[in-house]
Amino acid sequence: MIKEWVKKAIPFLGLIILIIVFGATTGGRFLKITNLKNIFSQAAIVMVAGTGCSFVMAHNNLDFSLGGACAMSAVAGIVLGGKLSYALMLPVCLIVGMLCGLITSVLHIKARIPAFMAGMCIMFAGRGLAQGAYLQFVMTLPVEYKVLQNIWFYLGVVVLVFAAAYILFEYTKIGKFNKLIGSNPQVAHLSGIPVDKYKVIAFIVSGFTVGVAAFMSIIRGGGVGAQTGTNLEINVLLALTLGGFPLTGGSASKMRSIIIGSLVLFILNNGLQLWGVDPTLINVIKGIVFLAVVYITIDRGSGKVMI
Amino acid sequence: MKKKFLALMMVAAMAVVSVVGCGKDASDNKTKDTNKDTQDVSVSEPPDEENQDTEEVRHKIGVILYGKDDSMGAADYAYLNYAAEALNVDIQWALNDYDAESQLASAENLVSAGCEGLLFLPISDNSVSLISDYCQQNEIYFQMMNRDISDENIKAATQANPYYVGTSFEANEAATNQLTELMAAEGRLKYGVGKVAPGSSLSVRNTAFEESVAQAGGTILADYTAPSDGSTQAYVTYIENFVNSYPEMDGLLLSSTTGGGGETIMNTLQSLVDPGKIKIAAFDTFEGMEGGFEDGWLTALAGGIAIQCVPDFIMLYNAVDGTPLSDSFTVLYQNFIFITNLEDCATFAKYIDNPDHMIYNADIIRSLAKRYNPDVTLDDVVKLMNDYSLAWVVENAE
Amino acid sequence: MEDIILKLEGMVKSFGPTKAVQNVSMELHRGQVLALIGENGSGKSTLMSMVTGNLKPDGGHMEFKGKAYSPGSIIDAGNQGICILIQELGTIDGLTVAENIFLGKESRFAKGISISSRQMNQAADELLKSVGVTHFRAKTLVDELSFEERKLIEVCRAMYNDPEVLIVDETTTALSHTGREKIYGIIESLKKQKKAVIFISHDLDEVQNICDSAFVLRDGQYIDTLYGKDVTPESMRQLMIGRDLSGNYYRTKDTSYVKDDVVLEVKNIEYGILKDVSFKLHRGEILGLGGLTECGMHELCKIVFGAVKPKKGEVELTENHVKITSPQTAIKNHIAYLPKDRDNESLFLMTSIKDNITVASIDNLKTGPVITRKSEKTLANKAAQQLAVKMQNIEQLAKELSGGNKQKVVVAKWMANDSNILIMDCPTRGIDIGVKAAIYKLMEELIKEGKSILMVSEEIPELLGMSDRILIMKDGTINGQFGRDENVTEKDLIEKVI
Repeated sequence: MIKEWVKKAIPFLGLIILIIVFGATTGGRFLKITNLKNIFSQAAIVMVAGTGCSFVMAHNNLDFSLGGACAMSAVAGIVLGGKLSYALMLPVCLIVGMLCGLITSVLHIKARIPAFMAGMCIMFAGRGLAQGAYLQFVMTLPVEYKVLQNIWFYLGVVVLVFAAAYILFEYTKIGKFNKLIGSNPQVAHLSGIPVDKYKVIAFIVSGFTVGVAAFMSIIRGGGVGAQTGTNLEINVLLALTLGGFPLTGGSASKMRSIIIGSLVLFILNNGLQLWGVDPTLINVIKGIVFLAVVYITIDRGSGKVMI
Repeated sequence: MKKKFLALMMVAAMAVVSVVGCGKDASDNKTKDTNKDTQDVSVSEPPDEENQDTEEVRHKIGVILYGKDDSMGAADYAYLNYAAEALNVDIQWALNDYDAESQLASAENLVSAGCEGLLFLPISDNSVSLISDYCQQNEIYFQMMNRDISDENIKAATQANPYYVGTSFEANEAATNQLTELMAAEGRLKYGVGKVAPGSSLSVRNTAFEESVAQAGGTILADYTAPSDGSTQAYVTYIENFVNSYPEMDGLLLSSTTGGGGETIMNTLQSLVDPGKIKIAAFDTFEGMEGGFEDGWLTALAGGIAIQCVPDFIMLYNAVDGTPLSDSFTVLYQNFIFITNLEDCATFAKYIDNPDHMIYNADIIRSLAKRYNPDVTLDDVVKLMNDYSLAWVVENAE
Repeated sequence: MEDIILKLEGMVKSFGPTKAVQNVSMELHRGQVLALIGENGSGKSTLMSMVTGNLKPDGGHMEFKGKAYSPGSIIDAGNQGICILIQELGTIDGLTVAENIFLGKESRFAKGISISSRQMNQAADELLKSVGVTHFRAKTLVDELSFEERKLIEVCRAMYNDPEVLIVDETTTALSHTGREKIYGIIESLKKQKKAVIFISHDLDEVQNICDSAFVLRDGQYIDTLYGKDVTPESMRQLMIGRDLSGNYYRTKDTSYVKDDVVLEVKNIEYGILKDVSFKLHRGEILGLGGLTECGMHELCKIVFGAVKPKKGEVELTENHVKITSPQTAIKNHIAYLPKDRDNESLFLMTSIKDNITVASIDNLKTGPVITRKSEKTLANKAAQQLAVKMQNIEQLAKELSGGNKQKVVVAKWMANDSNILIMDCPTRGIDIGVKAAIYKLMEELIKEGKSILMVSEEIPELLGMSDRILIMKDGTINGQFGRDENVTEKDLIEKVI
């Protein structure tokens, strides 16, 4: 019993320990308001993309399309926005994001391709599109949108997206069914849950938040570059895991994981840089921490192993 | 129950301690490394009084670079660590950022870590815009290396930023003129030209070749554009077409020969024509260039420009130290090194394509900093970059 | 005492609160063919799992050929000389016959780092010949084989180890006459070689013919051992059932709540082994469906519930002429399905009792699109209390419950949805007697309320005790129908089963 409790508390304890340690060892630099604002701005995109991705993870799939879908949405948003009106930027991002989710899930469910592979197709397509578009178009954020480049915008979006996703996840069929599908798809089927339908919905929700993340990425990145969205899927996966999200999904999935995990990830990054750790070593340390968290929190009892 | 919980806390604490340990280790390693560097140049250690003078102000400068694993990155990494030591500056690196967002995040984290100035190789115009804005808000000086800004709006905004110290480029036009002249001097006037993709940051070389050829009174018979996927197979076809369609062609002017392009082109020529019928003048150095000069396939190669990060760093240092060398932003041009024979190849390998050899020693670096040499002016830096040549490097190596 | 080959002393094994095996001792002699008998859940399989290293005993001591014996796994036990033919399928799809036979022993055909499949196939063909199999070969993929043929592969696997003790765990029930003969032959020859056999079967006539002694377990405890002439079906049954449980355990014979109107009609179903299956379910009726596991009755349950699409035929609700084509339509029309495999098909083990109960009724809990915690809790608590589920609270994980309480949760899930038609597939499988009785009582209450139950069972007494009408299936067709009548005996049913 107590072990379960500790397992659940580990991500949160880790976050607190990180804050205390970095707060105490960086001569106050870490706890400066500007630095905390920076950390949140850096983590915001991963948080938003991760809230949607939680639905996919909950039904025990990995969404590798995030980075590519983000690149596609951002390219489509800024190019179409530039051609027609920048007011269309956000809607275009959302639509393209959701289309990517739909494509991934249809490939997965109808063509029976493992979801992470279908996601990889989107990933490569998105990368290629972004690189091609980078040479073809000017993809710079119009000046009037630069007012959004501040913490309040990121905070507002995160709060809104998270609140909406939280309600979907905990209080509607979408979240409940996806968690149950992750627990046991066969039982879900025999309990009258339309499994495929809810899997598709999860991917579309994930696509929606990727669209939002793409829009934020345009704002934060001052436009779109050849590498927009790179590593988004990895960062989201890292953050979810560091936040204690079960690798196999299911009923133990909690939405708060993405917030805690993103903060841990970016605080670790920030704190290590404040310490002046050699940048090549930072990735090694992140890898070790990730492994340690997975080792402590993974549920070996269920006998399910990812991939 | 409690014991288990305590044990877990212990583990967590130990993990944190070991991470702290890692951090310390890393900085220890770094100082060790740089100590080693200083030992190498201990002959030119500054006098003690100067050391005392600078002890109170030890600036910290952050550098954002794409990586340190290729030859240019490795050279930049070595040169800048050395220059920082020479100027008594703490240097902090942020590597492996490949998009504008990540570069901005690194800039934010470096400034939080106490950096007073940022030197960076921007990944895109957007990245310049973001870091420029960020530095202006936080009153941080920044210098770019090796890049121009192509977007006019961003360029204007950046140039209006009082914290923009400046940027530097390779002297591409001068180098294309030189390469074409060397070719013309051999009496070769009928050219095939290898271009880079039009959107690339090096595309200025394409047009510069056209102009220099016109000036030298030559003609461009044909040209190709380097494949964007980096495959070298395409070069074989290009060269075969050149040779088959234009038997009179006697020279190749190439804008880029990186990624195996140079070797491939030279090997293809060898299989198609007699030695010396068509010769190459090109940017970049490549494997097998020694053989190329020996057997008469190569006229001249231009390279060795990684060093420009050092003048960039000096410009930034002066600004951070409160004594900028110019009232407004500066744009500096870095000369290329030209290799025209086998002997040059050996010299190049020894002094330039070798991160262990410091082209600018600590004395030269300090002489360009106002703190150590109150008489220094911008012209001195410009002169240093103009004087850069194989002969200069050899002369100053002793 | 030379001839004691296997000795068990004070074996104990519990699963959570369930004591599966309590202090059982056994002596097996060379040349003995010992029947291990008892009702379902009496601990036979658990005891044998400990002998074959599949389960670790909680207590007790084992000796094999006079030496202390504690196998680490089935393979370990096999290598030491104790082999088992198990009840469920033990072959792995996607591998050839030879690969299945030599599973875990491939190194015997190793050449350097590679395995010689030619040698392996040769050896496998020889083994197949020795047990009299000629119609398939070593290179055949097991996927292409029937259930019975796969069983024979397991026999080969066991024989390859040249076992000193062979355990036959309810294998023969699944086999045809010829298949059985092959196994009897093997048992006979082992006996001649002064080796020993433990034979587990429900078919007491078979036991009488094959075995020279019978070891009886009941509720995890040793009852008695019969020898020679005493091994008769009557005496064995008496020992197995023991107390006068049959009295109020099942429904009393003379009660009936069956109405004339039909609630559900199954028409001409064809799917896999199923051929043209039709039947009607009446209001207030318990319709028993019996047969061997492979007769198609479990698949039929899934088809009636809409979870599996039949190749032909349909399932229709008489009242509103709705065709059941998916679990969603079934649930909307208050049909419930309790699968046989509780842990894999009816319960989310790593999920709270609350979510397990509410899953089928979520549409009734919605206020707008939102489902509130309060409405969920109210429903789950009500249903769990109705069934008297033994638990800490409704947030407890389902995996922590005992088998009986798990089944109660499953029933609660469907009660919460006001189910009118319940498809119960082996509703008391692996459940202790107390809960069993509770479930039987609940079933009776349900039909009293005018609900209808389709009950599939592999246990003949259960069918006889509970059903208003019994359909016996064999090889995918309905092979016999019995009413609720004192004169119908187990024997009558078994005749139709096999």
